[in-house]
Amino acid sequence: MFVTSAVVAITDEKCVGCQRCVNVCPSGALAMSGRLAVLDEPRCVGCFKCVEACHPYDAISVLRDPNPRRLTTPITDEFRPAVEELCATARLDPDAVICLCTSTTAGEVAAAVLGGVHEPEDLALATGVRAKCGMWCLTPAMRLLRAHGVDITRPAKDQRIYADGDGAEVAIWTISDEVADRYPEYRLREDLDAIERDDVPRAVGFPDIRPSPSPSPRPSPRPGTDR
Amino acid sequence: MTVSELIRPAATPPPLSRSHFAYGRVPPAMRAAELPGICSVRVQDLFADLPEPIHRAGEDPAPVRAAAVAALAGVDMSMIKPGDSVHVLCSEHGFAMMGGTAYAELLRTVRDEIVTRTGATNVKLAVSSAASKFESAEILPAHGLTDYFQGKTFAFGPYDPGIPIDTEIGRLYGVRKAYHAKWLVHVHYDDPREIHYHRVNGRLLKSFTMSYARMETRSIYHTNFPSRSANIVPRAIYESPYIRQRWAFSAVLSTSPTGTMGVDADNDLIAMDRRVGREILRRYGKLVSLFRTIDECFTIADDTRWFPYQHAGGLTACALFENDRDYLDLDLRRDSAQVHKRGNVVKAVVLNSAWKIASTPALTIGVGDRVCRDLMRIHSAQDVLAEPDLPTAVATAIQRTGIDKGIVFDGCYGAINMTHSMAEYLLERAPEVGRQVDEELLPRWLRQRGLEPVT
Repeated sequence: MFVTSAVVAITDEKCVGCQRCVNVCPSGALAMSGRLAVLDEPRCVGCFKCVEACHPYDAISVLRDPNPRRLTTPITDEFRPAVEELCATARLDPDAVICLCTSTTAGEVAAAVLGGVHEPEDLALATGVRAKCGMWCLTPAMRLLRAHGVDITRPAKDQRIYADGDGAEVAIWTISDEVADRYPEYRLREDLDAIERDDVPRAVGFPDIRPSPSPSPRPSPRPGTDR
Repeated sequence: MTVSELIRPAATPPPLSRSHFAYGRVPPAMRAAELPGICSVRVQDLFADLPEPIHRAGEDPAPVRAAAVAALAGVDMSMIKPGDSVHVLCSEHGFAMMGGTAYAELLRTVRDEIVTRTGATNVKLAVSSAASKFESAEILPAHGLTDYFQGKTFAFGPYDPGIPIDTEIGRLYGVRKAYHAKWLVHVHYDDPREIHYHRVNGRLLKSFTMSYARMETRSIYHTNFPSRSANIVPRAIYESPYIRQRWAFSAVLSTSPTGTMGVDADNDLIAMDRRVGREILRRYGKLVSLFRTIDECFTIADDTRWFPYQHAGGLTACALFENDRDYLDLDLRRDSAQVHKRGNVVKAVVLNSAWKIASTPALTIGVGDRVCRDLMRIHSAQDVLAEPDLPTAVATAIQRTGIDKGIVFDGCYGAINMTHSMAEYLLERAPEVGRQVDEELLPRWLRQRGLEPVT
């Protein structure tokens, strides 16, 4: 859940039409109209990524949000079993806070996905996820979408998410035994076994990795990725 | 000496300057060290075996340069040819340590050695920013680095265009312009901040995810692996053909709770990381363990940067927020006594000076109109108390929490500023912590990492 407190504003005279702001907006609030960037203010979550992307043109400024919005999706009793199942498939606890900036939980995101929100930018508006830094929440959000069968594709210029490295594909449960054995100092086999036993000590700030809903053998290394 | 004889007047912290990124933007009217109730304890009075530094904040950095030249003498730079491009990769946090003087001098020396020994002149300083690429606009001129690198500097962040890096564990993404050079030189520091993430099990590798990677890869590091295993992510990037083709060498600023200890450098980052890891455990392990004994306290944020990364006696404040277990211990101990459920020991943060955005779960008490205005605007959903000045804010923290044990995070190395009751608390516990680390914990930490015992 996240309450917006700021929005941005574009100074048309300074906009050079470079589209950099559009390429980084996590909520789809910016678009090009001819050679000018335009803002759909109700979609702005006040992350300020566009402000930075606009440097050195400085065409985007920050304003107090005139209409603060509460971005959340409630988990209804009707949805709860499905939310728990989707979170389990994504190896997340429904109550785990997956976004430290906005306190959004895995369950909130799962409820939004189950409710038909399938674009990452719409998920930001529905739950607050990725509305700030994105460092913690990006991968869990992608895991929940993937677990629901949603395949994210992106054009090459999109700097918000690289679909072939979005975090849903590389995880401790995808590491091959060969790699795990090559780097014993990272205790990969031991940690994965502990995860499957639900035996990893809780750590402040880390969303727990839940056991696999249907344990399967670890894959072989991907072709062409060996040293 | 008795406990009371070891409690000294407050130490003078590094000065603060105006910053676009700080709450209120201007330096505070009063530093915590100026408060009548604040005293200090020297870290060497807590642990007598902490070594003397070669450099402290505010001193002439010549010893750092000499140490860097000596360390780099053992590094092979022959792969760099006169016409080659070189990126000297550095991270914002290094400039937050002891005023940044030592890290800046290391960067200058690395540049000079590359130019002198290889003839390469296309040497760019590539600054990994934390929250905003604008940080470099304050940091680099303040240390004269823009001029020193002849204008060949740039900053980059996690949403800049990426470059796919195929690794043993799958496709990861670096920041394209950070790596867009013939040769890469990684210049880092051994600040043990965020032990709960890196576990001193690949400290120098962490930058390949958390400094030089796109946000997708940073998120993978934080959420798709337990902390004990997460360093496979930066290791896989470091070992990738993409990086190996560009890798030249690395240099690291070596520190302790007393100050800068020297410089290490190597072509082999893994070998150097093992040396550095051993020294982090040896030099910081006792203070980390002493902070773990703190059961409750309030803190005063009175430094540059975000509060979790502000220093007291060389340790960052996040050591207090994550002190529920021994993160230096690499064994799993779910049911052992070391896994406490004490919750957050920091009951209140008096915010006198800090960079914006990063909040804490503790009660936050802002100091002064300018700071409080920013705090309430940015953290509108959080309870923030506003007080007109620092003495009133500290009194409010004590009154609201009922706790008089307070620590000041003001950038000091060599000593920790704190309240009298906290000084007594730490001095009483330090001897037993020192014994336990020497006899039990340090041998265990080293053994778990396959490192040689300390003699």
